Order: sequence, then structure tokens, then C-alpha cells
Amino acid sequence: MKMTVCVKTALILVALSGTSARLSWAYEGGAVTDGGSISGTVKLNGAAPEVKAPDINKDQEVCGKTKPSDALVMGADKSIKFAVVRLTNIAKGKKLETAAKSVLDQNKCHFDPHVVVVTVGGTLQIKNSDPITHNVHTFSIENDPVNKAQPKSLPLIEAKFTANETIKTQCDIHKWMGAWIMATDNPYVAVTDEHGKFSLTDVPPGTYKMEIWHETLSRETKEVVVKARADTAVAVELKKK
Amino acid sequence: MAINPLKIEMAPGRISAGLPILVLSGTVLALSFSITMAEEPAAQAPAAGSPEIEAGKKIYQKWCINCHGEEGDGAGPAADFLRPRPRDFRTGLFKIRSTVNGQLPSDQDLFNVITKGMPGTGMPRWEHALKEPDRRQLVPYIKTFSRRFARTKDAPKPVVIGKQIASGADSIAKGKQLFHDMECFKCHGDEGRADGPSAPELTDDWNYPIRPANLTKPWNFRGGHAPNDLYLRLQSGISGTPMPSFADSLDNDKTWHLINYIMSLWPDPSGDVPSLKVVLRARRVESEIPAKPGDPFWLAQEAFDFPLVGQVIKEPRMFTPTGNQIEVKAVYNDREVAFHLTWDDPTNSRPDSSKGIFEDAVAVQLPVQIPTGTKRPFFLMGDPELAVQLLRWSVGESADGTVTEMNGNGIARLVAQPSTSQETRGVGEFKNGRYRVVLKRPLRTGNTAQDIQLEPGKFIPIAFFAWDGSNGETGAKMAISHWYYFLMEPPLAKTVFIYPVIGVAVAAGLQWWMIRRLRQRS
Repeated sequence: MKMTVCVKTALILVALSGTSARLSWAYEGGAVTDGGSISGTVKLNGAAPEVKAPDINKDQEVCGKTKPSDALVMGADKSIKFAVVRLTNIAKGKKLETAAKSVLDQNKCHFDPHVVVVTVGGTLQIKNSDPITHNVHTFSIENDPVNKAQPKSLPLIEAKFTANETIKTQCDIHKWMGAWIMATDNPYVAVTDEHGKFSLTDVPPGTYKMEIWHETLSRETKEVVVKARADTAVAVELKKK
Repeated sequence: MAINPLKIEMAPGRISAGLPILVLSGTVLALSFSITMAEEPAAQAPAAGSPEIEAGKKIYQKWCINCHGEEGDGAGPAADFLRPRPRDFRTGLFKIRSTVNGQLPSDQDLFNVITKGMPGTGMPRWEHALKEPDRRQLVPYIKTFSRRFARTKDAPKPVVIGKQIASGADSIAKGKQLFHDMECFKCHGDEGRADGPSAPELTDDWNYPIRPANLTKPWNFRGGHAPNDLYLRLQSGISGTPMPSFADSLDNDKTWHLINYIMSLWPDPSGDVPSLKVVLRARRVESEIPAKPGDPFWLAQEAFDFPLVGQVIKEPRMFTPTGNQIEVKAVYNDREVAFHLTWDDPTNSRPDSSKGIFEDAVAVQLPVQIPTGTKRPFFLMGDPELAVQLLRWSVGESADGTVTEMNGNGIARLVAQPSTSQETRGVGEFKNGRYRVVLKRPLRTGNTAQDIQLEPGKFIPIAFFAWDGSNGETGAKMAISHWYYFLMEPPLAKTVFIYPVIGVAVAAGLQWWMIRRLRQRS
């Protein structure tokens, strides 16, 4: 009997911790004074995984004949482009921008940019700059999935997102066309540039969990301490999955 | 591009990058989740553990788990033998919906699929096997497998079906233009036979290969082939597959024009599966029989459709063949018999061992001896006692293809006849996802030990086989039919034409005689 009570209490505690964890996800935006910043570089540590070049096997008059792969773009010193850096446990900070629109263009059968950040409540403009039909197919679970035909007569589609999610996106007609939509409910998300660099600004002082994601490489997490009006430099190394 | 399939993204704990869910164990997740639900009852969520759910669970565990799995992950013991694979309910992605793109299905949508099944797939029609309350009871239980139902509070938004535009030459022409402008042909092919340039690479959301619908075979459309069904598929798309929604590109009128065009591709306006005839009848002609399958002569001949299924009796088996039907026309003259075979295959496959591709082929099977009693050779290429003869055509090296006469005493005992006895000639062509082949053979041959000697007026067993080399079909891995009958209609005796003439003459004579007598009396 006593055992049962113990188990019950434990379960309730576990349940409550779950609830509180959930409540803490809700992000509250506002003015940040004395904010610091986090900046750094993402690099590859060790051997690079093999990435196949896309096979441009149709519509070559529009798409071209060859394209480099976006699945692993490496600069000098093995710096990694298209890695996504985000703070995962931040509850309060600068305002989440929802008015500005993010853009994902389909140009010469290529998604540009390869990784696009869109805020929860914000708008993603999906463009088709090509004179042929594409279909925008998202593989999402937390957000309602999208699969819409986008013929040349439909140059713009707008999409909205309701939850945090890393969403694989592809065109099924041109199988090599892939992109990632990063839906986020906090503004502390950055995509690395061609030098592997990123920066997160106006971060309230505190200790945060930072996650680094890349489609082809390992997923890493780091604890980062941010001090008022100071930059915290972080060096990130990703490995082969 | 290395894109992870959805099934990997779906793995527990890896649902989504950056979510705090990742730090919680599965138990905690489940508990916190149920608490959240209790606080905010969601319209689309059935209450977990309720008697309603438990009742549905019982039915599910009895009838559904073999394919859909106990966890609703579409990985039951039978899943590997089915294509398309059974639905993984955890994603909340359902193909057949009346709701707008991206949204969950309505309860009625799920009920309808259970009731009507999904033509062309392993999902049977449960209308007669399960009573209606049981079918309804399954719906809330199936919804418990995906968190999307619990999370979604509003009822899904239905697609509004506007006023139907009647079909006609004008509407069909507009629809054809839209088929081109929307680039439907990229997957469905120029004539709708699922042979478009993007078709071979298509995968579903779980990264399994998937085929576009063959628009000329509406009886296999997963969600039915009523005009309204087509409207919903075009407007909403088919979730979990590459088929997108055209809601932003096609207004009501355009949607109906496209539907009217698609329906014009059907062999019959009803869209129903062609009726099965047991006897393939060959008409006698007095002329030469054209050797080319595209000759207009063949359009005038009666067509007989025979269903094909996978060969699953002997190893190695083929559970998921490409061929599901073959159309056959047959005629004969005083010297030879000809078979005109038509079947759909999205690819013109020639052997390529580096890609695991074999050659496409077809065969007509006949017994070597016409049975006199009820005993026939085993339908699967004969048996040790009774041999069969195969007239096999394959894409081969030449433009017309290669024909081989073979004899079989079982699927593993199949031997080509010597070149001196190869008397069948054949011409085949492949266009827009369809093969058409004409095979011609003398009625009687010198090799009576190995060749059937054909006789008009006899019911001769006949069967058909087809191989899609791009689908790994070779040898015993193929699509097969059962025995049907082949009848060369005997020419009518001349007396058949003379008797009616004599009859009419006699009757006329009698009448003339009676009238004359009556006139004489008066």
C-alpha cells in the first residue's frame, strides 16, 4: 500500500515536472537592456561524410546541368555553412519579429536559401521564379504539413507556422531540390554563413542551452553563459553522424 | 541531396530539432501530455482510456494489427508484402480526405476509407465484414495514434465542391490544356499511364517508392473515381504522397475541366473495372492478319481483359508486380492465329545488371495437348505430367523485340525450343507507358510433340504472364493469370445462310398461293 502511494507521488511529481517544462516553452518577448551576444564559428571536426552531387536529370533547359550539393557546404578551415544555432531554453528576451516575411525562392530548380528561418506567427513567402511547375512539400508533424503545386501561374504562396520545428522540404518533381524551414518561437536562431559564422544578439544575461544542428552532421549542444553588454565567443565542432 | 526520410525524423525523441521534448523521457512526455489535454479538452482528441477508445481498440487488435501494427506504425507482420505499405497512423497523414491541404481528415473521411477500402491496395472494403457501429468505433481509436488529433482544436476545414461543369468537347479541351500547364504529365505521363519523367524517383513521406496513379485505370483510384472524389484529390492533394494540392492554382471551373479531361482517358465512362470474360474468342478472318500492333485493323477487334496478380506460389515470389491487367484480342485465318496483347508498364526496361534491371516481357501459355477431359496442366507453367507451351515476347535487342517458344513442365522446368522449331513471330512497341505486342503462329506445325495443334471450335486453356524488369521481375517473379479459355469460333456452315432464304421463299410462296385462292373464291 505504502509502495503504491510512493509510486503515485512519484508519478505526480514526474507529471508536474513535465507540465512545468511545457509551460516554460512559452516565450515572452520584450525590451532587452544590458543584453550580451553570442558569436562563433561552426567547423567540421574529422573526416567529411561523402555527399553525392545532385543528379539534374530533367528540365535541364531551366534547371541547368549540374549543381553543387547543399547538404554539406564547406569553406576554408572546414567551416560549415547552413548549420543552425539556437537557444532552446530561453523564456524571455527580445521581441519575436512576426511582421517581417521570410522568403524561400525556387530559382533554377534550387531552393534559395537552403535553410530559411521563419517565426511562429510570421509568414513564409514561397516563390517560384521558374517557368515550370514545382511542388512545395513539407515533412512536418508539429505544424500542418504543406504540399502544394506551384505552377508558373502561381508565383507566390504564403505559409504560416504554429510550432517550433525543423522541417524538411522538397520538390517531388525535381527530386534533388531540398530545403529546411526552421520554424521558431524565439528569436535566438541563426544560420551560419559561408565562413561558418553566426551571431545571436540582444541576449539577456544568463546561462543558456545552445543547440547546433546540421542536416548531414552530428547534433551538438553547449551551455553558454552570457554576460551583460559582452560577447561570448563559442567554437563549435560538428562530426560525421 | 541527403534528405532524411520522415520515418527517421519520426523516431521517438527525434521528432523535431530544438524541442524541449527531447529532454523528457517517453513516460514523462505521455503524462504531461495527458495533463495538458485534461486542462484544455481538444475538439479533435478522443479522451484516452475512455470506454469508447477501449471498444475501438478491441476491434483494431482483432482486425487491423496484422497490417497497421499494434502501435499503429504501419509495420504489422504483413506490411512488407504490401505496396503501397499500410498507413503509419502516427503522423496523422491520411491520403483520402475531404479537408483542405495539410489538415487532418474528418471522422467521416476515416469511416469512409474503412467502409469502402482503398482500391488497388491491400486495404479491403470492411463494409460487409464489420457492422457499422464497429467501423465507427474504430475511428476514435485510430486517432489516438497521432498527437496531431489531440493538438488540433478546431474541426478540419472542408473543401467546398462548387457547381459541376458538364463534360463536353470544349471542357475536355480546356482540361487537356490544364493537364499540360499544371504539368500533371511530369508524373502521370502524357497519356495518363503513370510514366512521366518524375515517376520513377517518387517516394512517399516515409521514403518508400510510390507510383503515381495510372489515370486510365480509375477503378484503382485509392479514394474512388466519382467526379467529387477527383475534385477532392485535386483540391486537397493526397497527404503523405507527392500528389500536391492544386487549390491555389485551379478554381472551380478549371478543376472540373481537368476532371472532365481525366475522365475522357477512361476506357469506359463508368470508370468501373472491365467485366471479366472467361472465354477469349478469336474471330475467323479471310484476309492477312496485320503484324503491326498499331495497325487500324486491331481497333476493330473485340477486346478481352484478364486480371493479373503476383506469383506467390513458388519461390522466388513477387508480391507487388507492376502488371495488374492485360487486354487481349485474337483472330485467326486459314493458316495462322494472332494474339494482340496490351498492358501498361511505366518503363521500357532493357537489361542492366548494374542497376538490377531485367527485360520487360509477356507470355501466352497454352497446353501442348488440348485436354479431352477436365484435367489440365498446372496453370503455373505446367507440371511433370502435362506440359505447356509458352509464346514469350521480350523487349530483346531488336526494335520489334524477341519471340521465343518454350515448353514447361513446371516453373523450374522451362526450356526454349530448338531454333528449328521457333515458328512464332512477334512485333512489339512501347509508347507512353503501354506495350502492344502482336504474336502470330501457324495453326498447325510439324513439331507435334512440343507445339499445340490449334483447332477451331475447341475450348483451349489459355493463361498470361507479364514481367516488369524495372520492378525486379524476372523468372518466377512475375504477374500471372489463372487459366481462361481460348475459343477459335468455327466458321459458319453455308447451310446457315441458305436455310433462312429457303424459309422466307416457302412462306412467301404459301402466302401468294393462299391469297390467290381467296381471290379465286370471291
